[in-house]
This record gives sequence, structure tokens and C-alpha cells, in this order.
Amino acid sequence: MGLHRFHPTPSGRMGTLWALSSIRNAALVEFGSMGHMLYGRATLKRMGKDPDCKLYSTHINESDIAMGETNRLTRAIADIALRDQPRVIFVLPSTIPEMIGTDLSALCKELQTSYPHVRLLPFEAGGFNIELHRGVQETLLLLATTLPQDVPPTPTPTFNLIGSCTDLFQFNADTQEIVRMMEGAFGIKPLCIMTSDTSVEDIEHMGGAHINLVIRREGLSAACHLQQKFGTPLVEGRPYGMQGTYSWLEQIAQMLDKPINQSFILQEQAEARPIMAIAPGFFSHQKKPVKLSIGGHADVVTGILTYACSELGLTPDLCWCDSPAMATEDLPYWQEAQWSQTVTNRHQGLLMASGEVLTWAGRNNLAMQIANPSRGWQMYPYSPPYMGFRGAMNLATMWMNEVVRML
Amino acid sequence: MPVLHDNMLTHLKKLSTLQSNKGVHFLTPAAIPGSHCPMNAAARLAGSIQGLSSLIIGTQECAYYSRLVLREPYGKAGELHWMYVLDANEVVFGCREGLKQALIEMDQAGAKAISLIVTCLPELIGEDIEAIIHELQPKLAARLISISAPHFACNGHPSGIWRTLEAMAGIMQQCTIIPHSANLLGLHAASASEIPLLTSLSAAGVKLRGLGPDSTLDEFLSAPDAAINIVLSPYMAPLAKRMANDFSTPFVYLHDKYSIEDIDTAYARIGEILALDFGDAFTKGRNALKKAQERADVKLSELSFFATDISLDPIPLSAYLSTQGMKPLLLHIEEFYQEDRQWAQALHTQGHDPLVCHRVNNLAEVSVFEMLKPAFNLGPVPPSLKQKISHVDQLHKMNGTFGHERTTWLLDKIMQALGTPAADLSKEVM
Repeated sequence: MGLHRFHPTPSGRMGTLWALSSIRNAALVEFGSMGHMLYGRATLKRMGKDPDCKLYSTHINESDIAMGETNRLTRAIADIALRDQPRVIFVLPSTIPEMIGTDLSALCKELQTSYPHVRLLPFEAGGFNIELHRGVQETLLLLATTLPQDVPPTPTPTFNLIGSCTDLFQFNADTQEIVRMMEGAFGIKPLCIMTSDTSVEDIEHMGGAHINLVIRREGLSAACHLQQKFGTPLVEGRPYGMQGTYSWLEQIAQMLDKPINQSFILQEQAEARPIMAIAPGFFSHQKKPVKLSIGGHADVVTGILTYACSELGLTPDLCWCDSPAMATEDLPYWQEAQWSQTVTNRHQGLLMASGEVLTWAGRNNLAMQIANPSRGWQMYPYSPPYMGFRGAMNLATMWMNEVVRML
Repeated sequence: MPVLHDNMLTHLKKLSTLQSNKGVHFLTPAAIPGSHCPMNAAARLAGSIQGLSSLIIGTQECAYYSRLVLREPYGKAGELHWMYVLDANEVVFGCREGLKQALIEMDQAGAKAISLIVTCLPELIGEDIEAIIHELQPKLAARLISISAPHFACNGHPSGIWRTLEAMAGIMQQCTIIPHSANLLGLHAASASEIPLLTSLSAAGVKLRGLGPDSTLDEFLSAPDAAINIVLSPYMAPLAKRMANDFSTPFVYLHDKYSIEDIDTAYARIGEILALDFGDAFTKGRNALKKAQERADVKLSELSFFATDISLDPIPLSAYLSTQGMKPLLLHIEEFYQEDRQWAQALHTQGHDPLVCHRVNNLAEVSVFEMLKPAFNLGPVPPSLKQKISHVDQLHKMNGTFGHERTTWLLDKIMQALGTPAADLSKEVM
């Protein structure tokens, strides 16, 4: 960690809070200072999610810390259980209880007997060496291992989307595109969109789905658990590009043993044709190869870059990811010292990254943003996606316009 | 659905027993959304004082979320708004060495003055920031101040503001005093032209310097050249006291004066310090307030009330309103200042000892309103009670204003809320 001029990587605690904040019919109580929750809520709104889960804080004072008191949490849980009557109360530590070693799991176990109709679920991605992505991963896994009930497969095929969480930029738009494509290609609907658009009940019933679509690697352990418990097959990956999306649909078709609705594909191809007929030629006819530099979540970066290079002929330039745990030789993890020295206002070519990086590099076109932290408010729910067929059209058009703008 | 039981308020203290913020308990148990923390307030203030840089010291949460208010790492006048995030090792063994390196780097990058905003975790592990400053300051051009901003030490955010302002005195330099000059601590620029005291001071040739969030670092640093500090905000009171101690600058409080007598006394003291005779400059405002009090007399008599607006300094205000016959039942305390004790005593002398609390969930407060049945509220009421309880909103407009005109404006607002035809009310505006 140390000195930062720009946003640090969020903590695992933040990843947990952000992932849980969108679950309906649940409440979340954080044992810690009030301010954190207030700003967490403000950040979530900016990221495009007015929290569906009721977000509470106990606050904590010097006496609580000195004496190891947990009465505030006990009283808060009693109040929430009585007033809101949620199905589940998620219990999170903040930095202070994490520091002094408050055992939230034991406390929840002790209190659980008093609330037979409300499940108390403690989360533990609270360590000081745990970052956002592991927090999201542990949260998805804990949800998958605790809430799903033994249910039979749904009579008609359904799917779960695992890993659509508020921390991913454009999560709303990309999720809507996947739902649209699954409906069009297979005629099947989502059972649980985990977690950006779901409820406690949806998670409880997710064992009934016929397939789990895992759109980020943090969701893989949760999906593997569901596969083990319910036998649900899984497909991992983010569908980018026309061919990439079709390949992704083919994998799903194979798993479901169900053909792709070809008339849907023909319709999508016809819609994309005016763009796809021009885009590769547009890029190849530029005086210099069009380079794309890209930084963000490893799965997003890899997916978009693959589309750009393999389907449109762009040339990869600087590429980096935002988590050391996901770094590879080809896709290194860059801290701010690296990207801020490398990606400056003298940088040439297309650039897709967080709003903060784009601003630092003097790029005014925030449409090229693919990661948080965001410079603006991502509140409009119908933005064009990056994933899927429509995402392919959006990206291709965006890159062409960016090239024109930079000429 | 009633949530709290009949004995639900036994956890709250009476004002007369309050000694510090620690005695102010939550009105209801679970905070949603809760209050801002001192870090946020200190960061916001650092971002608004031109020339002042900041370093947030804490966890990823503190650093990440501070960007909600300190959006840019580089300010327009060369300020640096950077962050120091403790790693797992530093949480155990301290961050002294890393922090020293960070400050050296900020110094080399050109920071003129740096506000070290120390959040919960470094405070909890007992990192001695003052010792680091003591060791490092002689080697750096940048002036360093430290702001203790742990949220676990308080409920609300004001300490982040007043501690920053108070700490500014630590980097001020002794200057030659300009005899006819005054600092207006906490002045809101919008109100400056409409208040007779300021008009009179200007007319008498007094050099006025407004000091507040919009001031520059240089304006703060040159503040000791003033002959008097006129305090218009409770946030500024600790700075005034420290400047009195460090630079012998006399001060007069106006932020907590609502009655004609108290305002007149404070104005007289200002005249005395500056050797000025204000003549009848305040007669119009005084008479307007007298009339407003006469009009309000019957309506306010025995009118019970809550004060729930978080922007209020409710104890001196309630002490004044009780002289007009109103009966305080419950006060939201965002910050308890030591000066509040005299106003609590004044209330007690008049036979009032309201409950004190910190509000954290307006939906859960319905039961409290139904139990204590206030006739009036200074501040918002739960949505379901809006039609039942007269109340005034937007009381933050009183902040930074003062004098007879502020009190008249407040009485006017209360009378409007109580249903008196607006045409009958004083048209005095602030």
C-alpha cells in the first residue's frame, strides 16, 4: 500500500459490501463506524446501484473498542429483525473489529437462536491483506454455500448469471445484454443474477438452474460448488465480439444440449452488418496501425482485447490488470506508479481504462471507460453494453469515432 | 408498527448531565444512513482552502472514499491531495517510516502546507503523528499539521472541521497587529453585505478578513495581524481560543448569541476592543427583533419542541427559545462543545432539561415523536408525521449569519410554520 495519489485498490471488505448491497429482502449491518457505510452507499449510487439491501451501521466508540463490547451489534440486529423482518441479515466487520479481533461468527451463532426466522450470515473477507477481488470471490462463494436450498431443476430451462456485481463497470448494461441474448438464442430466462439484480429467494432457488454462466473468475469457486451440489454445468467467460459471442453461445448450447436459435443469430448479424462491414477495413486503412491500450479487470481486458485484435485488426499496446492475484506475464498488474508514468497525455492510440486513468491521460472521452473508479455518475440504466453482439457493435463504433477524433 | 418500547428513552441522558460527546447516545439502535465522519469533513475543508494540501492516513476505505470529496490529486493552486494506506504489516508494527517517506515526497513535490488527516486505524494503533511531525518538520519546507479524525471518538463530523481550523493556528506566524482590523471567523460571503455590524465596521474603516472554507492558506497564515476575532461559527471557536492563547488575539462570540441583550453585549465588546462607537447602527435591527418577539409571544408560549436539524448548534438556540416560552424536549447533538455547558445551565435555570441524542434513522423515530408529542420541530420530521407536526427545514441557512437579523429570521420562520399569515410577519430578511 503506502503513498497513493489515486484511488487505492479497494479492500476485500469493500468488495463484500458492494457485492451484497444489491440483494433484495436482506439487510446488511456493519459493525463499525458510521462513515464507511455512508460513503459506501454514495459510491454504489455513483456506480449505478441504489442499494436494494438495507445498509445499516452500528457505529462503535472508544468504550466498545476498549472493552470488546458488542452490544451495539446485538441491539442493531434486534431492531432490524423486528422492524424490517428481512430473510437474511448479512453481518460485516469493519476495520476496527477486524483489528481488535471481534469474533462475528461466534456472535452470530449465539444470536441466531433468538431469531428463528432471520438468518444471520457473517462475512469474513476482513483481513488487511485482502483486496477487492478476493472479497467478491469469498462473498459469492459464501452465498453459494449457505443460501441455496435443495430444489429440483426448473421445469423449463433457466440460467444463473454469476459474477455480475456492482464493482464491474457497466454491469447493468452487460447483464441486460446477456439476458437478452439468452432469451433470443435459447428462449431461457435467468433464475438468479448474482448479485447485481437478485433477492434472497432467487439465491435460495439458484440450484434449480440448468446452467451457470460465470462472467468473472471470482465467481468460479461459487459455480464449482453449485456444480458439485446440484450438478449444474457451468460456462466461464465474458462474451465479446461477434465471433467471440457466438463461440460463447456454442459452449452454452453444448452444455444445455440445446440448439442455438439460428434466426436470432441471423437477425443479430444483419443488425451488426453495417458496422462490421466497415470496421475492419476502417482500421486497416489508417496510416499507422491502430493501437489499443487497455487496463482494468483481467477478464474484461482480455475479452475486449481479444475482440479488438482478432476480429477488427487492432494492435495491442499497453495492457495491464488491476489485481496482483490475476497478473500474468502477458497481463501484468500495474500499480498507480506504473500506469501514471506510462500512460500520460503524450500517449498515442486508443485507450480504455478507468475514468481516473483516462482523465490522467488527458482523454476527455469517458465513453472509453471500462473500469472503476469512475469520474462520473453511472446512473443511467440503459447504457450500451460492451459484451455480446450489441457490445461488439458499440465497441467497434466507439473505436472508429475515437480514431476520427484523434486524427 | 411501534418498534421501541415504553422505556425506550431511558438510554438517553438529560442535557444537564452531559459532559462531553460521549454522553450523547443514539436515539435508535441501527444507523441508516448515519452521520459523516470527521475524516470526510476534514478532507472537504482541506479541499476548499486554497494552498492547503492533505494526506489521508488510514485504510483503503478511508482513502478510496475520500475521493468523493477530494476528487483530484492535484489542486489548481499546486495543492496535493494524496493518501497513505496502511498495509497489513503497518497495521501491526506502525507506519512511521512509510509516512515519513510520504511526507518527504510531498514536500519535494511542492506542498506548502499539509494537513495530515489521521483516521480510525492509525489512531487505534496509537501511531504518534505529532512525534513524526516534530522530527520531520525542521527538515521540510512544507508546514505540517495533524488532524485527529477517528470516528470512534465521536458521533458526528464537526471535529474534523474545528480540529483542522484550530490546527491552522499552529502554523500561523506572529505578525504586527493592524489596530483597525478584524477576522470574521466563519463568515458566509453571501451574508456579508446585509448585516449592519459588517456595514458599520466597514464604514468605520476597519479592515475585515473573512476566514472560512473559501479562504486561502495565506489568509489563514496572516490572521494573527487582526486586532480581534469575531466568531460566527462554533467550528471556529477552538481556533479563536487558540489564537487568544498563542497570539493574544481577543475574540467575541456571536454564533451563540440570539437574544437582544446578548447580541448588544457582544457588539458593545467589539466596539470596545476596536475603540468604535456604533451609535444607532443596530437600532433598526434591534427594534425589528423586539417586534418579532412581541408577535411571537403568545404563539411560542409553552410550545414544546424537538431540535433535530443536524446543522444547528441547538443548545444555545434552545436556551434563547426557552426565554420566549418554548419548551425543549429533545435535542440532536452533532457535537457538544465545552461552551455549551453555560447554555445548558441557562436552560436548567429556566426549568428545562431536554433529552439529548444523536439521530441515525429518521424512519425509526416515529415512535419517539408519538411518545413525547412535541408541538413543533426545528428540523425535519419523519415523512409520516409531516402533516401533523409543524416544523421548519433548511435551518443551515442560519449558519455563518448572526445578530438581531438572524433571530428575527428564525422567529419569522417559526411563525410561518405555525400558520401565521405571512403578511403579518416581519419582512426582515437576512
